[in-house]
Amino acid sequence: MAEHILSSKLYWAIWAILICLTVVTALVARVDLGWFNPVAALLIATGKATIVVLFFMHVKYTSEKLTTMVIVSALFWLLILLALSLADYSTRPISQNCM
Amino acid sequence: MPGHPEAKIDPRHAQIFFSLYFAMTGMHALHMIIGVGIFGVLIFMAWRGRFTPEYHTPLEIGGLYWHFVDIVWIYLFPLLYLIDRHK
Repeated sequence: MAEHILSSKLYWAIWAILICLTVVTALVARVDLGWFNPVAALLIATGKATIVVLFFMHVKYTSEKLTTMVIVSALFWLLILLALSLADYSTRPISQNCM
Repeated sequence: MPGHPEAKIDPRHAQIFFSLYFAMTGMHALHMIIGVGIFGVLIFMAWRGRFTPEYHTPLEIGGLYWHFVDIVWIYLFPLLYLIDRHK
């Protein structure tokens, strides 16, 4: 399988970064940024997911192009899912919706 | 709602939210329990000396499964618990 062995120090560092980003998510959620709140939450969450996929799932060190392609396609599919859901929800004529 | 005295709260919104909340956290919890079971088996196998530097595929696959579950949580937590915290 993977020839590349990562140091445990790197894993701890990545874990610390993820914890910091979680704290940032919680703090940003408390500040009223209007429509930007869910966007910020999703952006930080995507950043964290990317870090998990690249390092903990070892994708950064894989020599398999197919693995990368599958992940890029999955992300593209997720984008379609989010775009179509937002297109539906944000164009609804509900007066008191909190978007 | 505070700041919007004219706005009426539709109970159907809460119903939709909570049905999604319980469905998603329930599914996630089920996958976590399965993951814990898988880790238990992996720990047992490692204790029995089944893994070597050349062969540790079950460990890697178990790790990948667990990371899939925690990536779901990375999205679920802010979207279900933090989403209207600023209001």
